Amino acid sequence: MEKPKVLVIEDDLDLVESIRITLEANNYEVYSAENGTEGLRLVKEIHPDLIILDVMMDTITEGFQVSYQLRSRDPKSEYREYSHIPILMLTGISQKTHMKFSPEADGDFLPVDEFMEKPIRLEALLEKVKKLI
Amino acid sequence: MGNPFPQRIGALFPEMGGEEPLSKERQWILLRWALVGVVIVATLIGNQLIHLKIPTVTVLLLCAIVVLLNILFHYYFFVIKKKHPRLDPKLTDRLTYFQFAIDWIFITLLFHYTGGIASPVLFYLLFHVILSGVLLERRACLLYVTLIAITINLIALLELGGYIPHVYSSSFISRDVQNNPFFVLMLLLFFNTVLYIASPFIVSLLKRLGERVLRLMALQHKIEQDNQELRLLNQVARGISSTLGLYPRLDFICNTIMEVMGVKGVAIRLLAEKTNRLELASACGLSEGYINKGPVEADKSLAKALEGEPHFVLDASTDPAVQYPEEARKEGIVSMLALPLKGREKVIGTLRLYTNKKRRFSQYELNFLSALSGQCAIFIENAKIYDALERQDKAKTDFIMLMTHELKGPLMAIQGLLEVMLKGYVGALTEKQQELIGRMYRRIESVMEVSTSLLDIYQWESRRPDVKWVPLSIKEQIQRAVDLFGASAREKGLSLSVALPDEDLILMGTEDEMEKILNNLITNAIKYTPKGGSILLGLSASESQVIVSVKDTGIGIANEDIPKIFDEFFRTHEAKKIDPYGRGMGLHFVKEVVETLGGTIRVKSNKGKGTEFLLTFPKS
Repeated sequence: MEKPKVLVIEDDLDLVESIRITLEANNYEVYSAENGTEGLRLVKEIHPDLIILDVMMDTITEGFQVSYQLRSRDPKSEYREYSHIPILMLTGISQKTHMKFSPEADGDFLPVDEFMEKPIRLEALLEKVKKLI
Repeated sequence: MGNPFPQRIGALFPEMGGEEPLSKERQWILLRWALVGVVIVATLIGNQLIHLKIPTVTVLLLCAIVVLLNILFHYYFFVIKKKHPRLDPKLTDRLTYFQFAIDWIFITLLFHYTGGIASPVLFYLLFHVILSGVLLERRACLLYVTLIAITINLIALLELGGYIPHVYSSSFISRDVQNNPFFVLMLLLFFNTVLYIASPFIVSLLKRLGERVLRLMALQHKIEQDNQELRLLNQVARGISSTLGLYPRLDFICNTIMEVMGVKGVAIRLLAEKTNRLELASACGLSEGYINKGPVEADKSLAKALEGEPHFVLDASTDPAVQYPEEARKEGIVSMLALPLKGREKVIGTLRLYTNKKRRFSQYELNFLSALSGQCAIFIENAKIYDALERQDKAKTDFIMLMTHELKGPLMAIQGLLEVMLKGYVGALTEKQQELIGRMYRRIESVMEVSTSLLDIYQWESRRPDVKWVPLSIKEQIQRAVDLFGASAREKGLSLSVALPDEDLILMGTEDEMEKILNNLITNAIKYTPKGGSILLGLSASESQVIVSVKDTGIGIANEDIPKIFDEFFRTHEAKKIDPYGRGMGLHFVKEVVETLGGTIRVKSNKGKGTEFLLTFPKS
């Protein structure tokens, strides 16, 4: 059976490493990207089963932009065929606000399926990943 | 004999304090109406009832002339002077002299026609003299009395000698008696004695009474002034101690001074030392155009004030000390007063008062305004120091928050890497390795907790005061907190459960506040409950209250420690054993947030058995 593919879009490479080890130890195939552009390229290339997305990378809103692009309702969007991929968003430490989220790109709601506040616990992350795939 | 009247006729009358409702000249005119009336009535009644033989026609004719003249005086002093109070002072003076002359002639003629030495007018004359003594200044009064005395004596003597005809009007005193030189001389002696001894005596009594009244009026004036001063000080003090920022408070001070002093406008300009200009800090009563007329140079505009003295300008449009005379004229500013704002070491600016008509400030007002501007200066200096400190404090806080935040990223990464090692994902560890890595992990864990507390507290302290409260579903809040901590509890082998009622309960607050309360309490419960224990979150409601409880089967708190548990930095001996690195900020912070939401927090605990925190909020 083919392992589920998880794409981690996150710029803290040490954090990516611990996520990678944890998920690989639990039978996932992990890919990673350091920024949104590379992440979107990889989405097309590997067609992941789950995307773990950090809110803040180079810019404060980079993660948001990636999620809005992936979940765009525009019929001409180049990511249309990827809009069903579940997204787990990791929020930055300073943005501890209760962002509302919903799987749909819809107005005020952030178009993601789940989100976790940093500092994250790998155990909890693993639970969420299992739930989403 | 030189002119006995002072140059200005106004000086004839003793000056009254404050605004007079009726000038002396006007009172004199009103008294004349009464005098003429009494003469007419007395003549008619005397002739009819007691058969006096006063020549009615002559007396009425005299009265008619006086009435006509008095109408003119009345018109001039009551109508024309009222509209134009500053009109032709020379004419006013002449008319006033003329009034005295008319009275003098009228009284002399009346004395003659009503019977000379036997005339009843002789006695009424005394009243007239006393009244003039009250109304006139001492020297003028003496002159007037002397004039009357001379003519009365002269007429009586001329009548006695037969040089002018004697009108025998009295039916009581016989002609022989009236022609008896002894009688006439004695009567004149009495008359003159009373005139020169008694009337000045009465006059001085009345004057003293008048002075008392004046003193009382002066005292009343002083009280009113003091009262006004107190009111101003009180208002300014209130303005200064309000919670507004520096500039709104200066605006308030300017407004208050403008209102209380009754001036057109007030401004505060502060000295910018680099440019040597006076920059506007606050203004009221002045147009935008005037305020922004151009840079105000410190040494060109009312410069004396910057040397520490009040600088007064009576006419701003011509005074060289005014930098913008043309603009001041257009603005309608006439007089200007600049007071130094004396700080602790130097003059920091000026407080300026603008009037729309010529106005001098009394020494009293100057003293008072100087004291006020001194207070103002100290206040401005203090406020500036306070602002600078506050800015520094904010910069410091921002820096600490940034550093704490920056620290958490790498710590989290290290923790993650340690966690995968502990889990054995990268190969089996020896027992010693496992223990050492576990220590590192927990050490980082406590630093992370302290950082979170620090960030929480700083965020809380720098939160916006106008943050809006919204209705919160407590069930949802509790459920979210339990979801957030479920993994950590399970990892430690604890059961974390909730007992929620069916109905949802609503509280007013912010999600952030509620989350901080619950997260702190649950973190504590997890930390201080040994493996295998349980944590239960409960929710219940009474008529007026909502009660949230967080109960654990942890280490508990000793009875003697319970009162101190919410003190900042307090930690129990047992807590230190479990986590030596905690800082004791959590519960103090929780209490503050709970109280901000209008709630209270209590704790029940059995040492070694468990602890229950009870949060009570008013039901919304």
